[in-house]
Amino acid sequence: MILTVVTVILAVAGCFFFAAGTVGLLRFPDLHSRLHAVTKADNLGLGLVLAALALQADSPATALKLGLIWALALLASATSSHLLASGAGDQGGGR
Amino acid sequence: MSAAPVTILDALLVGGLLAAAGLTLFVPRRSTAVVMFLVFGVLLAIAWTRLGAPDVALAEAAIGAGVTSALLIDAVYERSRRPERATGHHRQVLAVVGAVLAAVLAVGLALVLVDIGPFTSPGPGAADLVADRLDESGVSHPVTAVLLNFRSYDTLLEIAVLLVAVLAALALQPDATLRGVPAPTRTPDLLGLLVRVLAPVLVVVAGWLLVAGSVAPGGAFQAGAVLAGGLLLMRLGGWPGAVPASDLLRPTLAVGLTGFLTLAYLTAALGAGWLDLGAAWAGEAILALEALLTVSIAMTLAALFVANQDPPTPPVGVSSPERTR
Repeated sequence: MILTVVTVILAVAGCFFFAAGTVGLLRFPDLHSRLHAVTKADNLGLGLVLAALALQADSPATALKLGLIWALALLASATSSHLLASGAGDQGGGR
Repeated sequence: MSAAPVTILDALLVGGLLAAAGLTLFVPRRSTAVVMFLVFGVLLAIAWTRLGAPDVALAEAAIGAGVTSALLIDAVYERSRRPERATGHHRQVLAVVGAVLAAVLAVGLALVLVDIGPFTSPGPGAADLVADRLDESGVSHPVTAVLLNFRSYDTLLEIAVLLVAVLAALALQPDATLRGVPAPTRTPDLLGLLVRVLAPVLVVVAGWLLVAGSVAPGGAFQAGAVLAGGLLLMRLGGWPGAVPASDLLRPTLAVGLTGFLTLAYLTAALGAGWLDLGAAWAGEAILALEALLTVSIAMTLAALFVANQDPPTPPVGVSSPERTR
């Protein structure tokens, strides 16, 4: 019972951060602040949703795999947003 | 597979698929269209999962959404830097030819639809037949049994088509190798780090998909697509040798089809007939063949991507004997 409540709280919080990141992506004026919104909020949102799923996983191995997915997504999103930001800086774009 | 009840999520998925498809076709900016195509591929992969076809979903996610979108993004980006070649007149002719071909295709499809008549239930299909004879195939996953044993002619031809496609792409290069394509010169530090972490992970995932294909969703195409992504990442991340330019390239491209044909000849000469695998050793033969196919598919997809980049004009520091004739 407690497990279910914690799962729901984590998943709802994750969805909130995803929504916040998406709003930021749509509403912020330039590339750098959009990247800031998407990477920070979405990474946290993904982490919370995966934590919720890990609580419901039927084996520790599944929970570990979900953690691995989060680690890889963190790595990929950090690198790609860094590349996007520095690429825009090279061309004098962005701000 | 028992049919899951249709939920509101499925309805949203179908709506999203139609919207993404429509946007892909009708948005004016090409780069937006490519991104919408990527979204369409991801939604389609989810739809295949919902339909109980994880093999197709894996292939769609890796090849349809991943590799194809990467090729399209590359093409849009290169195209925008290249002077337009077709003149006004040529463009008009091309448009007319395209319209005529599309009209012919539309009429043909309409005739086929009329011929088929109203939609009826497809019936049980071959699923029971496959399930009955799964023991003879050497693998326990029905999709792999069909692809590599019961209907391996189809797969053989698919591999041949892939080889022809990559040979055609290479033939457009100045000396029919990838030597003319400049390797990425500057690698950002962070990308190098990412590649050093991700490359081993991708190789392990590809190997797992390959071996898992015998008992679970997976197989040569999925493993090859993942490995192709790894090879391209390595090339972009400071290891240009990951996609060899010439000497190793052609054997790697051809080894899949060569292995398939060797197996076909061996079964014809020593066994029961063309690609008729004996139940005793079919499992080992299929795994060995899939390993070769994975290497070829990975290198084919990676080479297509690399060949899509423009060679420098005129080629600098590249000696191409054909050019001097």
